[in-house]
Amino acid sequence: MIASMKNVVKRYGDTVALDHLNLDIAEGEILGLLGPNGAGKTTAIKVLCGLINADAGEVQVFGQTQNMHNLKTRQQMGLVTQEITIFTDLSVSENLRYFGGLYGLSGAELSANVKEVLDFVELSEFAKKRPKTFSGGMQRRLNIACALVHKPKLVIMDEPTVGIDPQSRNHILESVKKIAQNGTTVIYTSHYMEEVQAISNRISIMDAGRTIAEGSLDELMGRIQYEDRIHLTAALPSDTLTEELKAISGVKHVVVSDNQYTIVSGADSGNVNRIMEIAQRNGGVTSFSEDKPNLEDVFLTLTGKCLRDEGEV
Amino acid sequence: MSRLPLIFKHYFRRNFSDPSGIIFFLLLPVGLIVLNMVGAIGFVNLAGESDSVDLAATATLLAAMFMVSFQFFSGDFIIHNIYNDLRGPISSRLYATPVTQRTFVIGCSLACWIFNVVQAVAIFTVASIFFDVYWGNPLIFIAVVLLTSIMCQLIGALIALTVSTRKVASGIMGGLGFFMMFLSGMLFVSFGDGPVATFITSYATPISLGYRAILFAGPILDDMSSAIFNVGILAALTVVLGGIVYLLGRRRSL
Repeated sequence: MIASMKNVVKRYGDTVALDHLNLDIAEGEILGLLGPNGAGKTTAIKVLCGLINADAGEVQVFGQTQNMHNLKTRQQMGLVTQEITIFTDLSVSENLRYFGGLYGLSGAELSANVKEVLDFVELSEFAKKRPKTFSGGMQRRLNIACALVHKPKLVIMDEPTVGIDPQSRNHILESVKKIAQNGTTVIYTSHYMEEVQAISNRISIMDAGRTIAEGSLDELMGRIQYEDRIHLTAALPSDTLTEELKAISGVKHVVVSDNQYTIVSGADSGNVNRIMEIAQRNGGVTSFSEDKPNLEDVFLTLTGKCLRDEGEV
Repeated sequence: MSRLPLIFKHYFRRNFSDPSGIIFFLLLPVGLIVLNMVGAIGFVNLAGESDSVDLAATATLLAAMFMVSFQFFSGDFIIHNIYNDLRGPISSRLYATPVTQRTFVIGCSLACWIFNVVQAVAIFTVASIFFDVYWGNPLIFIAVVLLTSIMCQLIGALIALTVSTRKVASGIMGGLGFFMMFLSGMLFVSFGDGPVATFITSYATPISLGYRAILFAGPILDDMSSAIFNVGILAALTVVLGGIVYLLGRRRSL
């Protein structure tokens, strides 16, 4: 393990931000840390980075105990903060050179790293510009670059895509995958389950300061009971079609509205081919879609809450 | 501490490329001093007292008073730097680096300190060239500038590291400056001629210690041993403050 948190507790007054949190991070993986706002993700990251001390529990990074006074562990860590934390009165290149310098880089090594990371986030042509006038997406990319300039072994990204356009978001997600391909371990926090689902090797779901589920996407899906939902638009809707669909083994019910059919089956029923065959035989279909369970369903099942709005269901 | 030169250079460049810093902490003090001295000299001339009043001595009193006082008002510059960086959103990124808070504070203070010294040099130059001010013994003058400018950084850092909001911190720094001027008898309030009043106006604040050290070291009060004594007290206060700030420089929770 490159880092671990065991029974970590952190309180702010009467509020328990981390409630005996356990987290293991293996070398080379992308660990998605998913949870609603207020789940304790940012506090967990602050403890892991040594920005704050835990009240109880054990935090290890690179085999050393992590705390506010351990500077050695920081040398190999990079933090992408949730807020954009760059100097807007300095140019892109000056920002990178300063942060690189704080990690001890200088001379040719610093220049080479700055050039490399500028290419990586595709900001090379803006190296001499001040980020004041940049779009949110470009500032986010510089925010990431500042955490990568010293080539850390462990990169922690705290909601790096907040408030940016889809194109920049995709760029950042692709960048995260590339970072991991180079052997860097990534901890990626988000309350956007699509992001975590798209890039993570392993996912840890947090709620109320605790880990409530952990595993690969398939493992987490396996923990919930869900239903297959197939939606189709029939070219020639008929009672025969409805009856034949209802008669398929595993189908729980069929909902018909004009020519729209929703067929609900048990989990992994494998009825898609059979449904399509019947629909084709009865006049064909003009559209077809299948609802797949996602992390939102996992979270909902485990906590009774939605990821995004934190509302009770 | 190996990153100290880098951090110093960073703040030095940013401070000297910040127009508001140049305007408020360099041009404004020099402008105000010039305005006050022109006003005072004009008032003496208007009153027809130019023959009986030593204009250079009047200019010296004003220049020395403003020079030392502005050193302390300039403590707001380090407060500005510390709140923006070490207590602002960017602090998470800075503290995630293998650099101590103490190193950041020292690097930032050194850059602001240079600014204070430049401010004092500007005031010295303008006052000497245009108003024939008696700055007295140069060593005492240099000692006063160095000690008051260092003390200003220490007080600014102390406030910034202990007060949670920037506005309150700036208010305290400014209020402290005016309070020290008030105690030094510089705000047109007389404490009388009694021994307690004399002690307060002469020794109770770093402003009065610095101001009087300059006057003692020149022809106005002409008492070198008192000038050295004042500088000694200033030095002792600076060392004590330095120790307190060093201890507080340990990292706080974010």
